[in-house]
Amino acid sequence: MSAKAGIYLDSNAGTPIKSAVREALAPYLLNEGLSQEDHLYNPSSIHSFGRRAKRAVAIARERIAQSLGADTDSEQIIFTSSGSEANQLAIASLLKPRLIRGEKPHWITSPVEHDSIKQMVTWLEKQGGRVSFIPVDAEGVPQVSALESLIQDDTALISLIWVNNETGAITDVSEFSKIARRRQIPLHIDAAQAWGKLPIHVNTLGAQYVTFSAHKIGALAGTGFLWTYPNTRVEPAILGKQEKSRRGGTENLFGIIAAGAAAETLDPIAWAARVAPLRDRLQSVIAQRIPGTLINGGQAKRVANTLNISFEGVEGDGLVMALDLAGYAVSAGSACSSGVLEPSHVLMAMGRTKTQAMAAIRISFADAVAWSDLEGFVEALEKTVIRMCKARR
Amino acid sequence: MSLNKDKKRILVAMSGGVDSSVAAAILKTQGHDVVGVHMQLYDQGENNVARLGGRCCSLVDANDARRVCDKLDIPYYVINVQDIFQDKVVDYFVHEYLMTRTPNPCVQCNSQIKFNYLFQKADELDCQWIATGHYAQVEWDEPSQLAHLLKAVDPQKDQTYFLFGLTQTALKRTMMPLGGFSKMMVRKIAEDFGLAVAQKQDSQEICFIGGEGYKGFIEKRVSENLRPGGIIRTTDGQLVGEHTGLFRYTIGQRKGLQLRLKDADQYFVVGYDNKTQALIVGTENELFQKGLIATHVNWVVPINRMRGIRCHARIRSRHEEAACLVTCFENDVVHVEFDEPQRAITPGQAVVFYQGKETLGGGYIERAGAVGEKV
Repeated sequence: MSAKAGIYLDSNAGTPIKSAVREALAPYLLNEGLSQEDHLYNPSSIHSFGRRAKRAVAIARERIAQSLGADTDSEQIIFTSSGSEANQLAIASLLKPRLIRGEKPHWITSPVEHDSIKQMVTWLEKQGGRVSFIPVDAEGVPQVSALESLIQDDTALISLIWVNNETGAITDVSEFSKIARRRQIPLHIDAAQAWGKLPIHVNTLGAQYVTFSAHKIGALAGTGFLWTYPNTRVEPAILGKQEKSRRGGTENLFGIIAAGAAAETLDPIAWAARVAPLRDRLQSVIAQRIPGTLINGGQAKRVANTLNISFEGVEGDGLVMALDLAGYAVSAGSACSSGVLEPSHVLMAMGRTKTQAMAAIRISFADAVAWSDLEGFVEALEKTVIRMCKARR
Repeated sequence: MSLNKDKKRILVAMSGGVDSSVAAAILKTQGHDVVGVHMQLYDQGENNVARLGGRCCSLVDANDARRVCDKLDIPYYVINVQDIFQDKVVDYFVHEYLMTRTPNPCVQCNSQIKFNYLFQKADELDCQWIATGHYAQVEWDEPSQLAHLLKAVDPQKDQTYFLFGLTQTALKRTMMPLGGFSKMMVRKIAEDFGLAVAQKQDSQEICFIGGEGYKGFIEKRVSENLRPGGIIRTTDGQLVGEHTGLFRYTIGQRKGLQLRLKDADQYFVVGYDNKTQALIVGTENELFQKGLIATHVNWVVPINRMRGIRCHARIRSRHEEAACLVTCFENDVVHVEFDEPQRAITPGQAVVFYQGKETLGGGYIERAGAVGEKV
């Protein structure tokens, strides 16, 4: 790109590949002299070459399981193409069979979910199903006190995002799971933004389905997985033998190996200790220097790396673009298929106006960043906000 | 446009068509800092993924624009202008028809959006200039500090008719690199640059109207009681037929009229009676008028309003300009007296004034006739 490449502050969207991942994949990608038997082929093949590939997958699966708690059974992991696919696999597994039987099932979720779950809301309603939304507070955190009253006789599933991808706000899923277990309703947790940011002991979450995404932790995009509690129903969307017939299609071999390598490097507590002070400092410096800032989700418990701010006086979708031109990559709301920016449904659910939602940016770090880089960012941000306020007609 | 300006940032409005793509390519090659912006003006709905030959704003167009920007190695953004477009262009379009005027949405889009709202975006993105793929020339005259809007060299493609609403404020910051090229040349340049859109079909029709045509478009949006049918009569009051909505007819039209008249094919739409919703037909010579009143007149360059202006005027985009005298009144109203009577002066259409290559300005035709004349 002719514009200077700039500083990347959008890790919640995607992270740079970790060195452990590079090391794990390098032999296969770079070593021209790699012998035939050292290459990896189709894990489903019966011969020794296939078995070696299968073992590589198994090792990765085991590493990932370990990152989710020492007692995690790796067999509970189903690899998918993404967190989105894993989310929809969980939801469809419970809702589709009911729909096919002619029922109009009830599903409880929240208004601050990731788009992959939001899409399923539209889908279910079109099929005649019903959806209830757990109300959120001004920080966008679903309120557990409201759950009980939403449960109906035919509630089939509760789906909840654990760490909000836009604000970083953390939902106390254990409180939700208590109620879900008591009322015997399956719980589905979207942990895509939680892996690597919070310590996870998946067996004790009290959930039946938990989804994960690999490109948020420095592995390759195109890899996600669904963890299920033993004997939990999974209706495959893609039929085939792989993943114990729960998700067909030749395994994403190198994506899985990458995910395993990245999983081993995770140390959420040390990471948070490095990153939180930076984020907090950045937040207070921005709030000091730029008047009219509104921290979205600032009062909630948040993961260490995410900062979502609205700027008063700024209108429309120009902020992210202007910052891009200044060399800084942040994000805002969500882009629809044409690339047009829409106001974040998460911020709208939190009670922000459309203007405030459009005037918000999300800053997220993969890991510690040099403060001097962030200082440059604050300066550029200040200049840009001033210019955007002036540009209004 | 003088290129001695120090390198400044230019926002190029990119539709995904070959013209705006070549405009961006030319500016990039000249060493400017170029930013490509695609305006999402209209949601084509379920036609969004189709290649809409002749229409704009599908996902395909957005992608075409993006690919061109990738090729040229310039930043590319998509901005949502749907609400403003709906308000200033689409609603205006429908409303004009209901007021028995024939609208010109492209003029509105240029005046309100491309050369107005887009400047706000340009300011936000720190772009000093806006460039488009319009076939027109913008010339800066240093001594007088005035920007001049001149016709394109390709008379077939000249788009100054649609640009009469531009102000000096806008023109001072506008570049139109294609004004000196023929369409053929522009396509050739696109090929030379290796742009995938080199042979893309031009957007010919109104960009937001689909296969249903403007009549279907209006039918869908306006309930029948707001666009009632009525009678058709001649100028001397003779009842000769019925119609199902005045919006279906434009001045000078003959097609589609079912008239109970001997020599029905000698009759054309000459006017509307808004009080009775009657459509008025007349003979060819009744279509010719020597004068018109125009309102909301914009002068691109300053003129002396105290004197009559001898110039040429076009009353349709595909109209050969005709010699006339323009007299200015208050409130941006003018009277235009043609040397020769002109055919089918249509309320709602633009009348644009020229002196040689220069576009002086223009306005919207209110009605044919003279000031003070009983309508």
